[in-house]
Amino acid sequence: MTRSTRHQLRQTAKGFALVAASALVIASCGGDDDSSADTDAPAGEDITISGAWARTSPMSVTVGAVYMDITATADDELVGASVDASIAATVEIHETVAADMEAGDSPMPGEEGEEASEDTMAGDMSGGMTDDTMAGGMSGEMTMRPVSSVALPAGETVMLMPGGYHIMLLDLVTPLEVGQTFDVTLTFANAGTKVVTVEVRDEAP
Amino acid sequence: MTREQPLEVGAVEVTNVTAEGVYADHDSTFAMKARPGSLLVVYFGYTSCPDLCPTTLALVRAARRELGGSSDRIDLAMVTVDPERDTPEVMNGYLSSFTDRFHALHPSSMDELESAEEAFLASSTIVTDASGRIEVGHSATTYVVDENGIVLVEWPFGVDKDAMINDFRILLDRV
Repeated sequence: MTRSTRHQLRQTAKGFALVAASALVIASCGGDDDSSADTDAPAGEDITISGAWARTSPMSVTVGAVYMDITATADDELVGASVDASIAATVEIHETVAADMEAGDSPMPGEEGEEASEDTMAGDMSGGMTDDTMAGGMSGEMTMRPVSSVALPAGETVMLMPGGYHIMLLDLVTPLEVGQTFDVTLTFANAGTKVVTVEVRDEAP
Repeated sequence: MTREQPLEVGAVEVTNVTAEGVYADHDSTFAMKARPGSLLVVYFGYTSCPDLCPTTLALVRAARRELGGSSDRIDLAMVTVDPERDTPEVMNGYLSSFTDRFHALHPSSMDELESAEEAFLASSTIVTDASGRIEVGHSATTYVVDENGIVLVEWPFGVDKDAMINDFRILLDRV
């Protein structure tokens, strides 16, 4: 959706091309995917998933989050996700949002429009200290909410990433440790199901 | 850098429940000041947060790793905004995953939490919805405090790792 698009713009502008490049290496696509699907290919529907990862879960906690990039060649929606019961008992799709969006004071990058994001970024990349006049002295709260679906507009790479959408794992059976992999089954409104292999990492790929 | 008038948080004291790591031996309250010559990173969050909190704390961990030996001069203090579920034991295990130089701060009352948040211009809200789901909202800024309790920098959520490392290097040279 729009927020993800903005994230994508930020990432692109930040020169994170490597994310996409390395993501392809661990891409795990469904059987009917030709795995080289170009985002602007106008052909029949095809879903490409790349860069799927989950953060190592800190000690003492039983929640985790899975992130990935999804590109559908025709309009579709991500409507569900599941994992084997040996990984986690419950899986939900969540979105991190400003808790009080109508107040119009969100510190979340990308939430204030693309120009604001670009400004934040310019500060990040400058030679000196970060220039974070963020939030105008206010303290915008962020929270998570479960969502029933994530829109996948045709040809657009929708990024599930920190601060945006994530697949939340609840009641982890064992901690997620570096190097571990597990499968997540994604359900799409039109494209059926796809299984993606997720790599557990300390940081985003 | 951040504000014309930087935040002063040195007078803030929060109940200290650190039981593991370098600072296991401590006073019953913690004042928001770095050790002399060091930096104190302060974050308000909760351990069952799957997205914002571990993203931020993992970023601090990654930055500290890249800074090598000088990261000994960077301590982490996390104030839980969810003291009911974040027992001292849970907090200690959680923070141990990110650094051994942590202070686990567990407000003993909502007043204590609110006083701390006020000083940092932070805020949080916990609501339980009709289905029993606990929703926690919180500001997700990361603060760096010096030995006098002055906030030197405030990073919004999503700050770039290289920018964080760059800021740490500059600040470590100053303190």
